[in-house]
Amino acid sequence: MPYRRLAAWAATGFDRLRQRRTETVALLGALRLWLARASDAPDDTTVLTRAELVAFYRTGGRVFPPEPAEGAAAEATPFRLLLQPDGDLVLVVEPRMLEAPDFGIRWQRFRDEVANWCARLKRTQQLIASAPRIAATGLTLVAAVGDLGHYLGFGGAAAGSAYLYALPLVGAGGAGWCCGHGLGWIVRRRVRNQLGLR
Amino acid sequence: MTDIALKEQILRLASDLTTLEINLIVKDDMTARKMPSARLALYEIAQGYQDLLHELAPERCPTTSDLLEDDAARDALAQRLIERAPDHALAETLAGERNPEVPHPSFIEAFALIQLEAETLLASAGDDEFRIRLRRIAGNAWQLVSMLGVIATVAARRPRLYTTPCHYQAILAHEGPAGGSTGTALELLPDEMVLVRKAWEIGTAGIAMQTVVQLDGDIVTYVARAHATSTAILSIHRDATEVALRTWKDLFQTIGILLGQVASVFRQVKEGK
Repeated sequence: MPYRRLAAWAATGFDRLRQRRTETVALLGALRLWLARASDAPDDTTVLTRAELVAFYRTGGRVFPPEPAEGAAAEATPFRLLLQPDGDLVLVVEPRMLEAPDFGIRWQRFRDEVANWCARLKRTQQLIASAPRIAATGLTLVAAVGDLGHYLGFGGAAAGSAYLYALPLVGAGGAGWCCGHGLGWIVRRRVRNQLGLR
Repeated sequence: MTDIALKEQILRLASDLTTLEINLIVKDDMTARKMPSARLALYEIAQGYQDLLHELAPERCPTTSDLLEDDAARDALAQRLIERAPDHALAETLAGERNPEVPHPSFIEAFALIQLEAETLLASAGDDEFRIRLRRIAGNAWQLVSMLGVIATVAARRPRLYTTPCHYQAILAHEGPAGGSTGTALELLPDEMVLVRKAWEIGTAGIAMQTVVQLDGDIVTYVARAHATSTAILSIHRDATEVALRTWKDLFQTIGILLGQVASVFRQVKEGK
């Protein structure tokens, strides 16, 4: 009977979406965390801001003490440290500083500043490491919506063939099928482009 | 045009990641100066290298201005390169016609010549410290030639960062210390920027202490004789090594987590979700 098949298809589609519920919550939670912590003005200062992270990778590393702003004069400094994204490190020391009485204290303060930044970098990297999981969850959600649209579309068509008053359902199902599959197609194409696959 | 394979670039990247290098330099009158644009940074690197080569062998190595700004002197050097290394990737380019729209020779030519001169001087250098500096100059110049070669090849074939195909000389032509504008920006990818940044930061300064850690666990530490007994130097170098090792470990942990995540996603897909 067409309506039985329609009910079965719809139930399968909803069931698939329900199975993704946990993943949906996880995805939204992770996204919220990512947006809050990696924003340019984060509430949480234990991770780097997006601008800091981008600058670290794009400019070949992070310099301590921080470089002066564009146009500002460069001040003398007893230590200069460059930490690069591949882990390499260059430390430059003023020779007079090595003999200074407060050398130990100043070096300790400088080292703490570097260590604090490195800890923030580590926490940011850990946050980024969850990206594939978030992306995969997003893709499965899109697929689930596509599946649901697909079932509704076919279910609607089947119902429409049996009952003329079910025509709106056919329209809604068809639209859902088109949207779900269209969205899936766009995402797939973007991913393939990003990976350089043609 | 140099034809440096992308493979070389990838090998360099892999080698960068599998080796950790910590350098300690003792330098007077230091400032928290910002690194200039990539084009000007390359000019300053070439200038520093060439000035040191000239200082070591004034009779055979020209000054920076001769190398980068005087076409006749540069042509004479190019001729020497062609004679001594006819198989060099740049020999054909240097022997060919110059692009009249580009007034100066490109960085790629300058660094190729610097590399060759440094290698020649290395063969006869007696002092250990100068040998180390010359080896670094030759190595960095070779890496920069490889990097610029890839940029030139890609820019001519199909633009990666450039909206239209460009002649490599227009992209890689230096603009002198003033760093004017040729109209074509020199855009570097992050891994290329890492190389330029490090070369610019170290320059030609003598390294007081250096530690190289390899992925297989080998650790090699070099200490300049003049600093071998300084407890302050040893102490801050140890701290710097700790910072670098921790960052390196974190980087590999992140890569490990990423790979684990990808593998788990694939496993889930294979098992039918």
